[in-house]
Amino acid sequence: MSTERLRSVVGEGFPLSRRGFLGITAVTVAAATGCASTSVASRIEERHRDGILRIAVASAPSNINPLDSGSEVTRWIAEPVVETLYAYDDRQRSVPLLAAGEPEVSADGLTWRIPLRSGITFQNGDELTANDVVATLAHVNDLGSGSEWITYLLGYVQSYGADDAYTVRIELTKPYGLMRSHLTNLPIVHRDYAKRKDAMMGTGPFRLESFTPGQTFKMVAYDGYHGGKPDLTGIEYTVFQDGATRLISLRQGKVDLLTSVPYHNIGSVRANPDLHVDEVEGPNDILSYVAVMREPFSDPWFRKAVAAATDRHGVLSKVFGGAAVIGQGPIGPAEMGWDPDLQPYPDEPDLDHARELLDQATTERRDFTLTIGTNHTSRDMAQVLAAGWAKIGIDVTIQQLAGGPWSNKMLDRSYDMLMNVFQSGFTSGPANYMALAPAQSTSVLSCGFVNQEVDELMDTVWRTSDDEVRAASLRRINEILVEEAVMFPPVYPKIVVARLATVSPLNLDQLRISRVAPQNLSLVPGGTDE
Amino acid sequence: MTTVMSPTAAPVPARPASRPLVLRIVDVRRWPIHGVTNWFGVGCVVAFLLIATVGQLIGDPTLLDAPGAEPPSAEYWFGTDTLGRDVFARTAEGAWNSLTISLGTVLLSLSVAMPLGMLAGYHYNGRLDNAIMRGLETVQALPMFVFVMFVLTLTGTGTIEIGPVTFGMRTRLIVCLALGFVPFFARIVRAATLVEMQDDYVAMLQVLGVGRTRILLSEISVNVLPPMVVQACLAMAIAIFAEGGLSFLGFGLAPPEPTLGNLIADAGSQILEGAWWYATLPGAVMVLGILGFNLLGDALSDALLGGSEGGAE
Repeated sequence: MSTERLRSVVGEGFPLSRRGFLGITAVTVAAATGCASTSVASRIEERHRDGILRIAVASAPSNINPLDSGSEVTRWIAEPVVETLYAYDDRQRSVPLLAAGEPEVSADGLTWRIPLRSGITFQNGDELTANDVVATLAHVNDLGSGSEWITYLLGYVQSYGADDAYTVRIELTKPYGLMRSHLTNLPIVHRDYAKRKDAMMGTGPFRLESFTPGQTFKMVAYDGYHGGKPDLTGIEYTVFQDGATRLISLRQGKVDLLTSVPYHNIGSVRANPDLHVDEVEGPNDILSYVAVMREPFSDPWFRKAVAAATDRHGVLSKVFGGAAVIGQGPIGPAEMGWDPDLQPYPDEPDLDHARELLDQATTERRDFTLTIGTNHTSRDMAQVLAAGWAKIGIDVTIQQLAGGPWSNKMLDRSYDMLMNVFQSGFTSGPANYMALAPAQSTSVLSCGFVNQEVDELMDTVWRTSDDEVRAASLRRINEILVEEAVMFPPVYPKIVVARLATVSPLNLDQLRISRVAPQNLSLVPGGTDE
Repeated sequence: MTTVMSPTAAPVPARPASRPLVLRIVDVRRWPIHGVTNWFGVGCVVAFLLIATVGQLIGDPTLLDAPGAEPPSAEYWFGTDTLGRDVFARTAEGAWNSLTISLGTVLLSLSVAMPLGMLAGYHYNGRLDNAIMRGLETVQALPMFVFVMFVLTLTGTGTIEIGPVTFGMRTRLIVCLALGFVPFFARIVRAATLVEMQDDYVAMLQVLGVGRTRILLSEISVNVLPPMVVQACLAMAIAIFAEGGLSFLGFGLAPPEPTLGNLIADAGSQILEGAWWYATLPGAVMVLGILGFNLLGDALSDALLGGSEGGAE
């Protein structure tokens, strides 16, 4: 645009030449960019004056009772509010928290007596007593309550009661070695709140002050906390379902921490000097199993061909941005029973071997439906896998279902292959027992696989109190399921959390069992020296 | 001037008939000379159709060829997505899917709406007219997009088998979208039929004893076709947009089958990574289709309706 033309547009009084105008524009843009950068830092500094840690989460439950769900969706929000009788230390050993000491277990293993610490109060000021623990147990053992814990306790817990104000008694129908694990993961809530779906009251350092279902949760520090007053004055959780929006909020300093970093954005998050990314191997599994009860997966050669043609490396690099470990059997590297030497499948699909296996299959079918959840990660993963299987002539239809319909498929066994991402740290700590349930022929989740050795080993896993015996049993189960190609997740995804540099470091030992533990974090003006 | 022969072979003056529809469309002299936008619309539609048809021959939309997202290059004209697939091949396949769904939608809805609208118009204010119109108003009570989402939510996104017939997602999308379009088309057909019914030639045909079916199929249908062609073109644009929107929201074809909507939906988060091409280029193709069919509809309106009103014959 010539100066004359510019003048004709803006008026005769316009004093600038074309070059001058462009120069001023460039300087203005540069200044605006600089201000924008400064404004993020100043916004964070200004925001942190209130001492509130802001966390972005991908979703939130409509029912906020922490007794009803062990999923990270519920428990990440409940973490600062509720506590357990026992807790994992940094070596993932179960140590007393609300309990005063180790449980007293009868010689036959059927009666457990748990002493409680005195003087611990809930956030409403009421003291924790055995009646609160009994109310908690009553809720999770009630078939009509809808609690997920019923799947762990049904058939094992016979009765429970309070011997006195500070002693809880649990009677079992048979020895149950996993009881200690459950007592380490089951939150204890106030007796008046055990059945409520719209509130939570625990003994943790933060009290749930208010929430908007599915949107925000505001917590304030509880001054009477038995472990001392936390550094933060409050914690706010905001739901951003869209991964990109979640990430932008972190980059712009609107939130301090992101619990579910979108895997496809992980590269840029790692490269951002203003952010810290914590990646750990944890009990973050891809539930992946096939319907062995009918064609085509009733044919072991077909199953093995599919397993051999699985593009594990493609999923690792293209879907998870490298934040995963190549998968083999159902038990991952952060879980009890992991066998690093068990590697029957190559990273890249072995197409020739897969074709040989497929040639031996008696089934005529060369197609199946892969049923996945609705999240972006599952969709990308399914597409990479389907492309790999197509190379040996197997045609895969991808079916995406929301949580409810997906679970219905699992329960009524109307699937060919099921796949979804599932985190189990809040129900099993460093293990994932539910992921193995479909392999047990007597389970309601059974996929039709019948193997007496697996059934017996699964029984041992649940009953034994000896961790070494349990680990050995899990290793053998894992080996059988890999050999039989019943469960073959492509990768074991890492748990990834991103935070601003102005937030204190996370405890990675706790993150390995899914705990973000925001109640232990603090805001660090000027940033941390990591 | 043409004549309609009565059953007794007596010559009856009939309505001045138009030239055949196709000839009227392709006669560029009828297109307004100042209609640059009309020609632009034709260009957009041609480009969209070329991408949807010829474009499909270039590249494999499901092949995970590249290591990850790559910008446009000589090898990958539209770049690649995060899974390493050729975005041009996926866009072409997506445009083809959008085109077939939209075309199927329009044709199906027209095939239902034309008879309904003509019957309603022929029996204006009668019981049949009232029954048809009240039925259509019931369907129209919900906005089309909401109506389609409602039906797809009820039926789920999986395959449905009713007896020996399997309804895949593509068929259900076409049926649902077509259901939404039926009231829109039927009302126009009814109005056009009412106009025709006022003409003398219909009364004369009735006097001569020509049957209702023949009057509707041989005479009225021919004369209500021009406005329907115009509306169908505009509806194509709406259908492309609706299909894209539904796919964007996860109600479209299942992956890995691309549609323009799910390509844009998948690309959303990649803009953060600087992968501008991933959403922009499929989006541009979608705009080509929507804009092109809209402008083409306007052009056809000028050629078929405006021209005849102006007495260009």
